[in-house]
Amino acid sequence: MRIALLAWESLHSICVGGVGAHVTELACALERKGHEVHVITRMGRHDHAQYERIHGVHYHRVPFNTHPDFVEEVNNMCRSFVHTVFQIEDYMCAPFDIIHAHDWLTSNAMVWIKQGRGRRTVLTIHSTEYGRCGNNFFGGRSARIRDHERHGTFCADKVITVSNALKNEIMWMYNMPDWKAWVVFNGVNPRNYDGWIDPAAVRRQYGVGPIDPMVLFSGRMVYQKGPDLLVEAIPYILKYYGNAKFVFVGDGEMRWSVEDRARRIGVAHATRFLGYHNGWKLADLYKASDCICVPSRNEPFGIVILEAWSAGKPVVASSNGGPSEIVWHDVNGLKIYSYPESIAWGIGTLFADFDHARWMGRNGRVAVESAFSWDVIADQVLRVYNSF
Amino acid sequence: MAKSVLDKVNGKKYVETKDKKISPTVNLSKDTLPQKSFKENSFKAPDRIEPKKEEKPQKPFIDNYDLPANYNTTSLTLIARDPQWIYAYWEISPASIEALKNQIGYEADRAVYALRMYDVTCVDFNGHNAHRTFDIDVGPHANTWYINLWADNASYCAEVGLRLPDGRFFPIVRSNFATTPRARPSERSEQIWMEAKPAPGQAPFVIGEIHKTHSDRLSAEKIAQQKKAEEAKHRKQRKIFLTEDDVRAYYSRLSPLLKDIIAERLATKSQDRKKFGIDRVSVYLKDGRIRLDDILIRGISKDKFLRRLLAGASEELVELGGASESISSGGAASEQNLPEYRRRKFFFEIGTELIVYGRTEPDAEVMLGDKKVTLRSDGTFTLRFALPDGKIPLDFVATSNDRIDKREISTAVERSKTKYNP
Repeated sequence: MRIALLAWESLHSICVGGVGAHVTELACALERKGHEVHVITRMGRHDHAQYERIHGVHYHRVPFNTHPDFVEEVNNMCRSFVHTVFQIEDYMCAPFDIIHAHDWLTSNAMVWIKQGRGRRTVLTIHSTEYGRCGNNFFGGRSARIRDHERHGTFCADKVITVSNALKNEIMWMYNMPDWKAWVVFNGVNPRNYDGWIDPAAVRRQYGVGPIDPMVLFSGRMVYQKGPDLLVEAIPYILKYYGNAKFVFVGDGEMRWSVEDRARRIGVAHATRFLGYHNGWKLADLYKASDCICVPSRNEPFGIVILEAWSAGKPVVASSNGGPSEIVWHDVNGLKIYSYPESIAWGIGTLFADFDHARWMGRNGRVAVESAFSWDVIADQVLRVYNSF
Repeated sequence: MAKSVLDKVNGKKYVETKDKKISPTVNLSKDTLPQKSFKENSFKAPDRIEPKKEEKPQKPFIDNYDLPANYNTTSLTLIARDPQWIYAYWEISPASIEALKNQIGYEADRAVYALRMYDVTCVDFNGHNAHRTFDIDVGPHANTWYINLWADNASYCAEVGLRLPDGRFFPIVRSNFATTPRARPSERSEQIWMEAKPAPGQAPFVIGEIHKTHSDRLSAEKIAQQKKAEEAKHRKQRKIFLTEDDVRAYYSRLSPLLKDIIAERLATKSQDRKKFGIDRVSVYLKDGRIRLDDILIRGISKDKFLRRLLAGASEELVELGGASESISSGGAASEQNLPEYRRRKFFFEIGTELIVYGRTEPDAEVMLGDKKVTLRSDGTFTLRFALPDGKIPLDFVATSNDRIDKREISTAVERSKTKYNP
C-alpha cells in the first residue's frame, strides 16, 4: 500500500508537540509492515533537504510563504502539500492509496487532494480547538479553526480519533456520523524508557531528597492541563507527607502565575519548576519520581500516562476524556476528579502504600507493552485503511 | 394599468385611502395601545379593585406592579460593583433643586448637573482633603451611573450638584463612602500561619517528663500493636490479585479494533494448531527454513524476515504473549551451539506412564492418600500418572457407603534411574 501522511510537524523537521512523535513513529511502524510511506511535512531548518529517506520512510519537506495571519499561513502550507503530493504521483506514475492527514492544520490539503484527484482520505484528530481553549467556544481565529475542523471531518472518508471521549466530542460539535469515526489510541515506544538510573543522583540535581515522595507534573503549563489544581492540592499532602516534593516540567502561559501561587500559599519549598525538558532528561525524571500526576481539565488522550507507564510509574489522572478510558483504577493508576481535594486524595493514597504503587507501575508497563506499542497501533490504523 | 400598479407598489394609493377612510379605526387602535395607558398610570399606584365577595374566592396577591419612579426625596448612594467600578444612583426632589437655584440666582440657567467623585482612600474626609476629585457631567435626567475608577482597593465619596461655567460647584447631596475590594491577592506574603496542634499521643503544653505508670506503658504498647495489626489488615484488604496476563488481557480488549485483530489472529493460530500441531513461528525457527507459510512472507528475504521477527514487528507473525516464548525457546541463532547428535535430524526419546485401575461398590468412597478418587457408575476407576525417575507410593483406602466396612491396599511403584548412552 502506498500511503501519504500529511503533517505539519515531525521529529525530522519541526517538532512542536505530540503530533510530531505520533506521525514519525506511525510512519516507521507502517514501513516495518512493508508499506511505502511518504511523510509530507514543513521545511524545518534551511539546511534540511527537500527529500530524504529516513529509516525507510520518504520525507518530503516543503517550503511555503509566510503570512501574518496564522490560518492563512496554514492554508499556504496546505497548497504546497497538495502540489507536492501531485508531483510525487506524477513522478511515480502511480497514485497514493491513502491520503492520511493529521489535525486541522493539514485537513485542507487532504480535502483539496480529494477534490482534485479523488483519493481515499483519512483524517486523524488529535485534539479539538474547543478542548485546546479549555472547553470554551472562543470567537475570532478560534472560530475559524473550528470551521476548518468541521470541514475536514465532513470531507474525510474516515476519521480516526485518539479516544472515545474525543470521538463523542467531535460527533457532538461537528455533527459527524458514527460510522465515520474510528478510535485508535495513541502509542509510545516503551524501549525509550528502558534502563536503570540512580534515582538519588537525578533527584540531587533538582534538590530533591533521595527518599522524599516525589510527584511529577509533565505537560504544557496551560489552563487545559491544570497545573494550578496540583499546586492547590499541595497543602493537603504536605499535612501528612511533609517532605513531599512536586516537580513541574513544561512551560506555558500559566507558569509564572502557578509559581507565584505556590509562593503565596507557602508551599514554594516543596515545588520545583524546571521549564521545558525532553529526551533523556525527561526520561530520567520519569524514572526518578514516585508517581506522575495528570490533573487536566480536558485531555484528548494523555500521552504522559503512557510515558509514565513505560517508566514503570503509577499515574494519578483526572477522569476527563482519554485518561478515564485507558487507566484501570487501582491497577495501574488512580482516576480522580480535577479538584485539588481529589488530587490530594489520589497522591496520598499512592504514598500510603508504596508497595502497591510499585505494583501499579509494573502493571502500567505491561499495559503499554501489550496494547500501546506502535506496531499494535499501526495494525489498527491498517485496519482502518483496509476498511474502504 | 401599469401606472396604477406602480402606485400600489409605491404606496401612494394606499396612503390616500388610509387617510380618507380608515383613519377612525387607526385612532381606535391608538387608544388601545398599552404604552399610553402605562404612561398615564406610571406615577401613581393603580386603583385598587375591591373584589366582590359573592362572586369569586380571593386570588393570591401577586406583586407585578413597577416600583415608583421616584420617592420625592434627595439622596445619593454609591455601591462597589467590582474592584474597578462603582455604581451610583440618586434622586433629587424638585423642591431641593428649586431651593438651590434660588440660592445661585440668575446664573442657575447656565449651570450643568455634575457628579463629583472624591477619592477618600485612607482619609478622614471633611470635604476638602480628598486625594483627587473628578467630575462627570450627568445631565438633568440621569439618575444612575456606572463609574470606572481605573484603580482597585479605593474608597470613594460623591456629590451631585450644579456646576457653573466658571467652575463653581454647588452640591445638593453627598453620598455614603464606598470601598472597592482588591483585584488581586494581598501583597503581604511574609506571614505564613501555622496551625498549632499538639502531636498525637502527647499532652499539650506540658513541660518536663510525664511519669508513666507501668500499666500505662503496657497499654501504649498494646495500642501500638493494635495499630500495626490494623494497618497490616488494611493493606491486606487493598491487595488486588491480578496477574500480568490479566492486565494484558484487559488492555487487549480495550480498543474495539485491537480486539478484532487479536481475535482473528487467535483463530488462525488455532487452525494452524489443528493442521500442524505446533505454532507457525516455532516450526519456522526450528527448521531454519520457510516451510509452512510462503504466502505470508512472500517476497521477503530470510534475513530480513528473521530481523523483523526478532524485533517483534511483523503484524502477521507476532502473537501476543506467545511470540516471546517461541523466540526464546528455540531461536535459529542458537542452532549452532547444539551438540552434534542434536543437530542431525535423527532423534530418539522415550516416556513412561503409570496406569492404576480398580473396582469396588459404586456407592463406596475411595481415597488415594488424602485425595478422593472419582468412581465410574459401575464402581470401576482408572488413574493415570506420569512416571518420572523415583518411587511413587500408592495407598488406597476404600470405605463403604454406610461407613462400616473399610479396606486398605498399599503398594508402590519405582522407576530406576534412566541412563542415556549417546
